[in-house]
Amino acid sequence: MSNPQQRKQQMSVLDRLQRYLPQLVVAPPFLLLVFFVYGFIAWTGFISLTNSRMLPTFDFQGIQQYVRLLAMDRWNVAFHNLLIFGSLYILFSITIGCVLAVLLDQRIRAEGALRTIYLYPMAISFIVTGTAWKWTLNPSLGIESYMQKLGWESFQFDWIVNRDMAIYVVVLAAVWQASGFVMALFLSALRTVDEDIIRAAHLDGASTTRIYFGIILPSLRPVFLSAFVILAHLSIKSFDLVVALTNGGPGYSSTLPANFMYEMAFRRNQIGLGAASAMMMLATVAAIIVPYLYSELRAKRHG
Amino acid sequence: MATISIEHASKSFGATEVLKDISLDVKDGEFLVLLGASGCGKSTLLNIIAGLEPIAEGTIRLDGEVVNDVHPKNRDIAMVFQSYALYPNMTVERNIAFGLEMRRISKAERKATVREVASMLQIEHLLARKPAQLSGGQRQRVAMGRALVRRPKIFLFDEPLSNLDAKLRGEMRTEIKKLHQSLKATMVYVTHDQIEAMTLADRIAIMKDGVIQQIGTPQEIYSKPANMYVAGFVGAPPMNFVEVDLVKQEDQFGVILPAVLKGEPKNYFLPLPDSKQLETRENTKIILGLRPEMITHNAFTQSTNPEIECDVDLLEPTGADTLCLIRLAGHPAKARVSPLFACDPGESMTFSVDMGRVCLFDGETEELIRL
Amino acid sequence: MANPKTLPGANGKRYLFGRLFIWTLLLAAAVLYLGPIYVVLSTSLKDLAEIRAGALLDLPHELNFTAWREAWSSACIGVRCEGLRPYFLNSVIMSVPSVAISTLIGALSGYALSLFRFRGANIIFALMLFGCFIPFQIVILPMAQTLGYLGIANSITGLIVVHTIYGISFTTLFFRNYYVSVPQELVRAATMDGAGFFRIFWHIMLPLSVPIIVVSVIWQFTQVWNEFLFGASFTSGGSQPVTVALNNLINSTTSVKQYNVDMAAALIAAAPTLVVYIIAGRFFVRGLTAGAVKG
Repeated sequence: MSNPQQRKQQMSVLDRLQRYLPQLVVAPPFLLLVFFVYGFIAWTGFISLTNSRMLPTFDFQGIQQYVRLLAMDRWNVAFHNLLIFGSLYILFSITIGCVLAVLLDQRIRAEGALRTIYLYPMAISFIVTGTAWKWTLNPSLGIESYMQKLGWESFQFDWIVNRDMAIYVVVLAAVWQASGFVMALFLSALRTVDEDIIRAAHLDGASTTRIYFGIILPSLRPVFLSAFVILAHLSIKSFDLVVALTNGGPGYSSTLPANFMYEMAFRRNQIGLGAASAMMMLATVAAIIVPYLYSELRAKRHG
Repeated sequence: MATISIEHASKSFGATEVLKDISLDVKDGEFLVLLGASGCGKSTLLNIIAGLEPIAEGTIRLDGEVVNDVHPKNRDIAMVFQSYALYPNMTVERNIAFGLEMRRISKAERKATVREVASMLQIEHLLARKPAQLSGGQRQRVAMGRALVRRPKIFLFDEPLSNLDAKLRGEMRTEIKKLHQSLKATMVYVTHDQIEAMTLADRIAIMKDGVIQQIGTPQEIYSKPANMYVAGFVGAPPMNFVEVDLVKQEDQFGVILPAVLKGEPKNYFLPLPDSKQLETRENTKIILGLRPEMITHNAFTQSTNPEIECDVDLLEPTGADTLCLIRLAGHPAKARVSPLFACDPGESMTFSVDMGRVCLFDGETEELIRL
Repeated sequence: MANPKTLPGANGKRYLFGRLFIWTLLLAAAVLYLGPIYVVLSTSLKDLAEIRAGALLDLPHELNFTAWREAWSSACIGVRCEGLRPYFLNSVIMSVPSVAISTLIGALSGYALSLFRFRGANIIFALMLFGCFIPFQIVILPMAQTLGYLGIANSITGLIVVHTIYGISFTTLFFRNYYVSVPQELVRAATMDGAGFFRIFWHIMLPLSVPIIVVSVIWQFTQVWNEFLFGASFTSGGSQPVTVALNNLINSTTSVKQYNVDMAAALIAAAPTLVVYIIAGRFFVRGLTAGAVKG
């Protein structure tokens, strides 16, 4: 048996341990993340500076891979596609989502059912979405031939096999999948708008349209920003949809950076080049996300 | 026995110092109230006593033993929170018993103790309910029960009544006072409500910006506030402050009080009690502190208090008294008279000023000039 | 609720015209959203001759489930002709543990980060949050190597590990944002009552967390089930998840295209997440929007 004095001291050690338990609990997942996210980023960054091909090597050769990358037509097509895809995807998803949310906000009786219909594409995988649209849009048996058989002989919708238009098919399918999500974002924000403000505006004689454009939508600026950031980073990550829909084709006309990376790393044994393209993707994401997270977390701390 | 002794305690959150070199002793069985505006550090001080916040500098002793590093659960302290902090997923019974459960007390014993406490607080009929099904007052009682059930040697209260409506607050105040009298336990009570502080406390410690401004009995604090902050914080309506000149007329120290009569400025000379303190301050600016009840109608008293006549701009009847809004030295001031003698607004009226009880403050340091 | 249409004077012809306009747009949108799933479903129920006749938007002449049966148990994917079933089971085996483990870890770390604001908690949270946004292309090369070192390359175990690790960012975000709204006084009260870190979590926080646990489980399940990149990069042959197998089936060029089988397979692969969405759509929406409201 220990004397009371000793026991008190032992207790105190346990108490100190108690105080650090939160840190101890967060430490393992945090260290996992440090290793598997930040460590791996560093790893990929290092590989991108070597001339690794089939296996990683430690032959340091500076920014050689990036020089090669920027000179490759395939990469430039992919990056150009990303710009087209990203901007149209964001623009249409936000516009359509926002319009649907405002329309649904007009005391629609079947709101629940409609909302379910608009949002379900978000629950299915890009592979399934790609499969569905690929089938619907295939020129020989899809919508084009259906319309022609109906008697509209001149109907043409062969974007999916058209070198110049294939990327727009990707936009179409991606907007179909994401616009319902934007609708849900906006609808939940619309529900939090202070009704008194709207009453006051009505008493001031403003019309419904003016109230939406003048008061409600401007007050949703943070939601526009969130939607933009989420869609922007999703567009940079887009990979599976292209795989299932066009597989990057015809040729590599509809390829995106994510597909480029996969192609180089796993099909062509160009690990160094793949790593360099992954770093470019990360830089693009970081350029959008880091300022956003910084301002969000800062605002919360002061708010 | 349960005493609390804090020596030179300091605490910062980031760059802001919330407690600056606090020293404080709480006697066994004492009811100490920490009073102050929000952000003055009173809750942090309470959390330090509880052990919920580690202390940065200084020592804290319970019954003479240093407990800086002792975990809250080993300090034998119970606490009642402002939001009550009842566990939403548990019944009232389990809420109250939770502390005993965590201390591995047998189920039967728990049940008996909870019954006892519940009957004391008259909440036996609520034991099976969840907190969401209770009214504010009932929740408050459950929170009290949770503290009482462990029979701790020290009770801490963090603004326990501020979420109740005025009537209920008054009732619970009385109950807490009764509880203290029957348990004779040491209690530390944090509030921003000076009426709660005055009615409950054996002693009040008034805090501002992490510093204790004054510790004393409610009466000391009320009649001899250590500085203008304390004087202004305690008492409702607050003390009137008038900047005046200290002068000597016919060997008598007094102040010149600028009032307004029939729209014209009028100065009154009010004699002060004799004091050596005043010798060095002749012809300096000082602050005269007058509580509203010190400016009143002396119809029934045979006092020799000096009188002033001045315009009354506005009346605020409170029922028991009527407050008259007058102007002293260009600033509004309040006088308290019986409704029987109040004049109509816009008229002028004679008040007597109780110069024996006034407070004088240094114009520079705002500290009380002790006469 | 923002609704200007409830005031007097909003009736009359203009109002009726407005309602008609709104309903037309909403129904047209509904048709467009339902279009592809209708095409897929009706194709999966037709036989090949009917499909080749080219009546894409027509209803099937008769309900024919042969394609479904074939897609489930006998379609050829790569060299194996066992249908989607083994891959579907792979996906089940892969999702259950990774969803459970990442939700548990996220709950604990979200609890520690939100209710015990220790020094550096915000920086740790920000670093974890960034993990939600990285393009996973940045980690697949080192991850492929690491899985190799660990001897779990080309295995479902490997995928479980990968999905668990990268799910933690999201689950932590969910739980942290949920617990931030729990009053800190609850933790303090329980501390005074003598409960420690884990007992507070177990007795008080977990019983309060049912809604966010549902959100987290649904979100993680949807993510893991629908994931393609990791599956395609780290597995081949028999250990592939269902998304990869589906893609292989559809993009195979070896035999005659059986469009009805392809479509049935797509629906089989989509079924679990669609069912979850239909049953618990409310929580699904909350998971999506929780990702948008940070801090």
